[in-house]
Amino acid sequence: MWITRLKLKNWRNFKQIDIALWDRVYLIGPNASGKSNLLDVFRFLRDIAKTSGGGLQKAVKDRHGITKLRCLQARTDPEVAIEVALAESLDSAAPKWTYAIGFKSEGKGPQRLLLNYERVSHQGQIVLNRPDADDQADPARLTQTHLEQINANAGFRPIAEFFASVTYLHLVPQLLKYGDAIGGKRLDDDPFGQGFLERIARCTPRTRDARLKRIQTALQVAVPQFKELRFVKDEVNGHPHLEAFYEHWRPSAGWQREEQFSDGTLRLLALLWSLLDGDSLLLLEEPELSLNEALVEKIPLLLDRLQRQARHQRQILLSTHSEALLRNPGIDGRGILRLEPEKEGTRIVEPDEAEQRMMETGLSAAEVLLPKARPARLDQWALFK
Amino acid sequence: MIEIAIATEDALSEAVLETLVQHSGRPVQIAARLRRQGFGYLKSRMASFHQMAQWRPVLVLTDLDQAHCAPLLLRDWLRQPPAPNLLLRVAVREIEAWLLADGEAFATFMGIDPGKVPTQPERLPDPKQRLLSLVRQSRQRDVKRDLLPAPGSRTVQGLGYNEQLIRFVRDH
Repeated sequence: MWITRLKLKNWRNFKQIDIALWDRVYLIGPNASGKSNLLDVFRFLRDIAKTSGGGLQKAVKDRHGITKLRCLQARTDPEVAIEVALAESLDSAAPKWTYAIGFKSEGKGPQRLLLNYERVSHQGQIVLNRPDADDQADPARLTQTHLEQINANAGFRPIAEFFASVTYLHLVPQLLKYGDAIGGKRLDDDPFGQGFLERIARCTPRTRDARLKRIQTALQVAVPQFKELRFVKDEVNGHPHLEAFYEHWRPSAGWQREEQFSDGTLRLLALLWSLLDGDSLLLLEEPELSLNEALVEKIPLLLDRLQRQARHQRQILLSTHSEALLRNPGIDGRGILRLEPEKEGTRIVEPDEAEQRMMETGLSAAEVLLPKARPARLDQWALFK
Repeated sequence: MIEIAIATEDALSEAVLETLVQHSGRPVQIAARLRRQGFGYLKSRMASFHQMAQWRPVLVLTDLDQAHCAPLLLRDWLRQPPAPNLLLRVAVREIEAWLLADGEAFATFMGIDPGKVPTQPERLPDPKQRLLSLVRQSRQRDVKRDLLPAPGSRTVQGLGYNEQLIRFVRDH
């Protein structure tokens, strides 16, 4: 399933947006323009829909409450609204599903977070339209979405499952390497560190071995002297680990554990794993980090080739600052969304006709669009005079 | 072994030069690969290449593209008489013409009728466009998908354009 359209109102730094999404979406823009906030919409829907520990209240609470979530520019309208359209294929004119919610603080008494509405349509037919008579009789029902309730979402279970299986990846190598030393609280389905190893551990041995084998082949090309990759469980405490074997090192050096991998190796490994893992929407935060430019340049082709295998067909949204990542003149300009911060919140701009025509001449997105994603007045930038 | 430097404007041209050097049968080894996207870099670095050629041969390959003719381009780029070990070569109109020049191998690679590959590719006004139109007739699904723009996309080429053509250069 593909998300073909996204509408937001008062979501973080987006006051009002309505955008079309393709199978590959590249988000570009200056720092703090809202790239991660945009990816967070889909994590938010996942947090509502996931079967364990999900729900609207928790999803909002994890984001430090509605006052932090709501767009600062939303002065008179307190409602936050999200609407997505989903289709079976990107070519289909009409969406198969739409899901829309609006919610706000109660505005009195205990200031509960309440749904203003929740609507689902399937092939143009309304499947759910809240608040309904039950909600009016018992407003406490409006603290929960039907999306998060198994016994209420039967009529639109496919989209609940789709949202619940959205994958987000932003591996921070240091969290994985120094996980034990840092300690502290871990996030649910932690996308940043140790959770990554657990995700690998949860996989059935057969699938895991098959995936690691493919990743090993890829790493042998990308990482000099890299030879073998294997998954092990610590004999003493049972913790999952990845181990690698390198050529030309002292023979006695043996297998290296993930804490000895380079940052780039770890990030690349996590990227490759996440591409092979699952078939739902995949969100990637700056996949270029720590990677050699020549590798980064290959990412769009890697994603496209993956797409050709039915088993791994999935929509991918990624944020990037990388010139190398957008250098391939084959990148479809329709998939590039530029975030432009303005006084009234961030705007999302698709390539216009002139820009598309520039790319038709063989210019790459890096040449045509990336310069526009630079912060204005940077030529005057300096810390010291 | 003579160590040389090669300077090209894209990955495909680089692969072509590598292969040519390899098959030249000369005791030559490529010690440095200089490349940035586009010919602007090559042109702006000609002075450095001149100096470098005093101690290490430099082989530069660029596309003529829409410039009028190769001798004019050479004069424009070199300005001074070139150092004997600075070799500037120009693909007419562009490197794709060189790929089409091996018509039979190209036809085999693409799975098309060899008779369709133009016999005088250097006369083509736009060899890349011709190459892409030949690819459209190909029966190789994966090759097509890599080389051609995605349906509905307005780009000139596919995401795997360089990768596929480099594979052709190396394997044929």
